[in-house]
Amino acid sequence: MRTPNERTLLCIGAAAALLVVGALVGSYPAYLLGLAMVNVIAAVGLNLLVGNSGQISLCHSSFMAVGAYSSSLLASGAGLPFWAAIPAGSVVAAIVGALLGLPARRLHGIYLALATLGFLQIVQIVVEEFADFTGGVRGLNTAKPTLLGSPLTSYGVYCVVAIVCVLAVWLAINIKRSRIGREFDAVRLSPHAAQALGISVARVKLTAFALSAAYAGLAGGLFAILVGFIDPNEFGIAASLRQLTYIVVGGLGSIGGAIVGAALLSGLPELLRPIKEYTDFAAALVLLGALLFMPHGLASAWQRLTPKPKATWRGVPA
Amino acid sequence: MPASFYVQLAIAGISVGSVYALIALSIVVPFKASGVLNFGQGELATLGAYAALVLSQFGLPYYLVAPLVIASGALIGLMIERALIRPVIKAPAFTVIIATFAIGLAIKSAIALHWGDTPYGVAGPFGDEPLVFNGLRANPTSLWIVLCTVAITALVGGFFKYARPGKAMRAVSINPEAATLMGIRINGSYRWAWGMSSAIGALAGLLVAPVVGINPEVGGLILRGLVAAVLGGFTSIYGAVIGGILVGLLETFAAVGLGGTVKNLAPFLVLLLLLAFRPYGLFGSREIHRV
Amino acid sequence: MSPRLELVDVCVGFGGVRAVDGLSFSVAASQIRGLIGPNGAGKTTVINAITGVVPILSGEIRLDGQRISGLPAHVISRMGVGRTFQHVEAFGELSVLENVLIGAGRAADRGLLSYALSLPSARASEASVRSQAMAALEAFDLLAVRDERTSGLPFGLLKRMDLARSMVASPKLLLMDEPTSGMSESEADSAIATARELARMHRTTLLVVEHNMRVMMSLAQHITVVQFGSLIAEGSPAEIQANPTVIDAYLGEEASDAVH
Repeated sequence: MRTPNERTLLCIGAAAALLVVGALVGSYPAYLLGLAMVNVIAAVGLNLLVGNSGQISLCHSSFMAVGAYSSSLLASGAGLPFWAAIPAGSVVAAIVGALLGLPARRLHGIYLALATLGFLQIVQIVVEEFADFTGGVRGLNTAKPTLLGSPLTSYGVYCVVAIVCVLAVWLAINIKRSRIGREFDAVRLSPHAAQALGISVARVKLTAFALSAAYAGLAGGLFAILVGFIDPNEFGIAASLRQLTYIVVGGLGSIGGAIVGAALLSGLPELLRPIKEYTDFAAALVLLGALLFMPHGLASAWQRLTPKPKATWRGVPA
Repeated sequence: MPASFYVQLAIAGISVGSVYALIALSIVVPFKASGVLNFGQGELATLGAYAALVLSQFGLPYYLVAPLVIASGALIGLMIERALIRPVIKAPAFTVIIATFAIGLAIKSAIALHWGDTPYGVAGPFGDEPLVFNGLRANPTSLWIVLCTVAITALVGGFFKYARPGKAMRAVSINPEAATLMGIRINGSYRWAWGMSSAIGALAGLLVAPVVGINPEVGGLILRGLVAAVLGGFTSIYGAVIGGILVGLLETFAAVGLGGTVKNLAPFLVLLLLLAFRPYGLFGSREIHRV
Repeated sequence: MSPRLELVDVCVGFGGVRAVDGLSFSVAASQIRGLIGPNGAGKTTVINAITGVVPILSGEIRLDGQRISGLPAHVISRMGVGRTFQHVEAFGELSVLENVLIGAGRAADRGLLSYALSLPSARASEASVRSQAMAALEAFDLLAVRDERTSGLPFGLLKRMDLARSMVASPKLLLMDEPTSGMSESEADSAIATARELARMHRTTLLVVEHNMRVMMSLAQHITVVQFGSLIAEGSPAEIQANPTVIDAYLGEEASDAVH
């Protein structure tokens, strides 16, 4: 268990490493890495909601869509620079997440799953119907991000994604190791005990929804400038399931697991691009396989291989 | 608008609603029996539709196609239950829900892989000439759908009330331990439930194929079916059917009164409102909810 | 001066069955009150009603004169009401330390952003919570197992953890539901002595439901006896042990146990 300062240094080191790697590899591998990092952000956010606070959500991709569309519209419509539009998109997504979280507080299990599914459908329909704003089914071109007047190169966009990704992971680790993270776990493990210890289960669920939506919105905004185009098909139920696959394979509740799961499995759609139709089928099989054979994910396998030392106590042993 | 217009609309709504009712039924039956909500149920309707396509391409007449579709639906359902559901049934709700989703996605993408996006058509069993009665026009396929739904509902209701396996399933759903003590085999109960529900789902796909065509998106019906099931209270067979009819009517009247966007949004807005204020629907029982 | 806890004509029921029927009693501050009664007397329901987990049909429950019946459970907890659980309700996947940290978290109230950005105020709050938790672990002799996952630990140890977890935030009123069940005699004596000492230090009022009569008679200063959800006797341990109504109630239970 590292101290907060060690963690910060490690993250700065990781960011530096990513920037160097991005400069060294060609532009297509860097683009793929960028996609992987966007998925990492989304997965880490989803993990806080599903893995830590135990709320099921099938509409994570919808919050990505909200972030993508709102940041794009703010950039092209209101002329916001990308470094303001993307965080603003994340905030919009967080607000929408809170709005969904309000009624969701009293739901659990299949009812919560249904509510998030219904919300997903509503977002998809809204995107299609308000085509004047969203481009409808044909999609939306995003404005090229500019810094100090000149447009960002693809390496510039990569750097933005890398830095934001590391920052997002750092924030998530801090949250998870704090009172907030413990309250998430408490609500998941025993709502009764949590209540008895003064934790408002309803408020924790709402916070978890809003926080995970903020992460998804951030990922969506970055996705939009990385790809340059928003395709509504990227934000449907298949995408939500893919994100769930990342965290299930990685290990629910583990940030490291979410990172590894997202990074490893992100490559799949691109690898299968020549046979694009197989993507959904492969994703479904991976998810099923993970649920059946590795229900606790890679993180728990890792934990079993690297046992923690027993607690030492300065004093007379029991 | 003359009264006959509204009656026509109602007939259309009831017909659409009947398909939703069948889907809702196929969701509620295994849920009552095993507590598992099969999010992949819609894909069984897709399977039914494509099975009908394949069988009719062999030149088989409708009265042979229909039972074969039902039988293959049941078979596939049993296979899924044995291979994929049985292992995860003890897992937490999250795992089971996601697993059923993944199964559905696997089926859908496998179908899309083989047949592609090309929409196929199939003729209705009684042709497309509308029947006219007292100035009211009705599509014979629509009437056939309603008839089948009524028949299936009666069969399912009767099965649960009078047939031995059906009564056993009710016992299991009320109290699994007591049921086991009385000699009822729980696994057998689950098998019946899944077999029945997939058969009904496949039938729904077959019935709706002449109306919406055959394409991988047929499974989207499940969304309306889920709204219907929630409306009906999730544990009531008749509630599911009534819920389906209501959703169908809602959609049909909303389309005419308020336009396409609202028509698409309406079922999901209803769903969210229901879940927010009355998750046990019209006929379900209130759960004691502590936290 | 209002009593620390006051129940006034409280009724709790589920579907026609009255678990608690017109129960009234009060507990003065810093007192140690026992709550006993034959099985099914409604003791756990009383605790659930006080902590707000279960709604009451009528009557009122007051903490230091202030009405708490009808408030949400977590609000009642934050007002200073703690409880231990008959079946512990541990946060299974978490370690013993993390369980107690959650108990202590009531004191920490930095916002989400402070924790996310690892601000000094958040770090200070976390350090303070951690030291409170460690002190509680030490008091209940749990330091050696602090990093062990609670799922898989022996029941008696978990009961000690539950005590530590509920006492770490120094509640005004602590409701203890069968605190020594699953413990050996020496474990029970030690844990109860610690609890009593901590309660004395923080002026915590204790309301203890306990089947172990030896523990109850030595711990409680005053005992309330309920049967079928109503009060049948109140008094000192000696008075209660000699009370014929109480003996009848328990004998009746023994007799019916013997028949079945």
